[in-house]
Amino acid sequence: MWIYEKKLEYPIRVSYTNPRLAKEIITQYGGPDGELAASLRYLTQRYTMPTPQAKAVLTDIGTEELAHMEIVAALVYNLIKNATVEEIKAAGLDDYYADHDKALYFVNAAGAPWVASYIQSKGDPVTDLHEDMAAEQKARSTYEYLIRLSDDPDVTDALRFLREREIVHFQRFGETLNLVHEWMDSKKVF
Amino acid sequence: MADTKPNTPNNTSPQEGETTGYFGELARAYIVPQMYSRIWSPAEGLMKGTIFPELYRPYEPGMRP
Repeated sequence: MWIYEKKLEYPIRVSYTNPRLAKEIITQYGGPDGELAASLRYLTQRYTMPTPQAKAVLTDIGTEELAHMEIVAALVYNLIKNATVEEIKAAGLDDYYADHDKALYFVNAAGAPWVASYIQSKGDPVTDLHEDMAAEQKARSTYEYLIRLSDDPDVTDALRFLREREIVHFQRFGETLNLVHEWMDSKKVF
Repeated sequence: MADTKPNTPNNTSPQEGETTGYFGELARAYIVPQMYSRIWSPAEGLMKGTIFPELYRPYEPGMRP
C-alpha cells in the first residue's frame, strides 16, 4: 500500500504557456523511457527479486518513479492549461487535443500510446536489474534531450532534478546487482 | 609461439580465471559501491537532486557523457 503526500517531490513552476514544450515533455509521462514505464517496471519486477534488499530497492525506486510521473504530469498540464486552440494548433498539439482536450494521457512525444511492451519482467533478477540500469540511462538521455529542447528556465530546473535522480537510481540498481550476484554465489556453496 | 607451455587445466591453479572477488569476473557487470561520507543538507539535496556529493553529475547542454 502507499501513503499519499499531497505535495510534489520537487516543487515545479512554468514560466509561460508553452504547448510545444508540453508535447515534448509528455514523452516522460507515457513514452518508452518515461516515468509510467519506469514505475510499473520496478513495481512489477520486485516480486521475483531473490532478497529482501532487492525487493525493497525496486519498491522504493518504483514508488519514487510514481512521484516523478506526477511531476511530469504537473509540468505538462501547467504548460497547456491556458493555451488557446490557435496556440495548440501552432505547436502541433492539435492531434492530441482532438482526442484528449487538455487532459493528461500516456503518449510519447509523437503521440503513440503507452504499451506494456516498453517493459519486461523476466523472472531472472540479473536480467531484470540490467534492464533497470539501462532504463535509468535511457531516461537520463531523454532528460538531457528535453533540457536542450527547453526554452523555459523553470521547466529546465525540474528536468535537471529528474535527470539527477536517474543517476542515483542507476547507482542503487548497480549496488543491488552486486548484492544479487553475491547472493547467487552464496547459494553455490551449498 | 614464444610461450610453449600447453594451456591445459593441469597447468592452471583452481582459482585462476575464476572469481577473484566481486570486481574481477568476466561476463559480469559491476558498479563500484558507494562509500558514504559527507552529505548535503536536505534543502541543498532537494535543489541538486541528491544529498550525496559523490553522486552529483550536473548536466550542461552540449556536454556529452
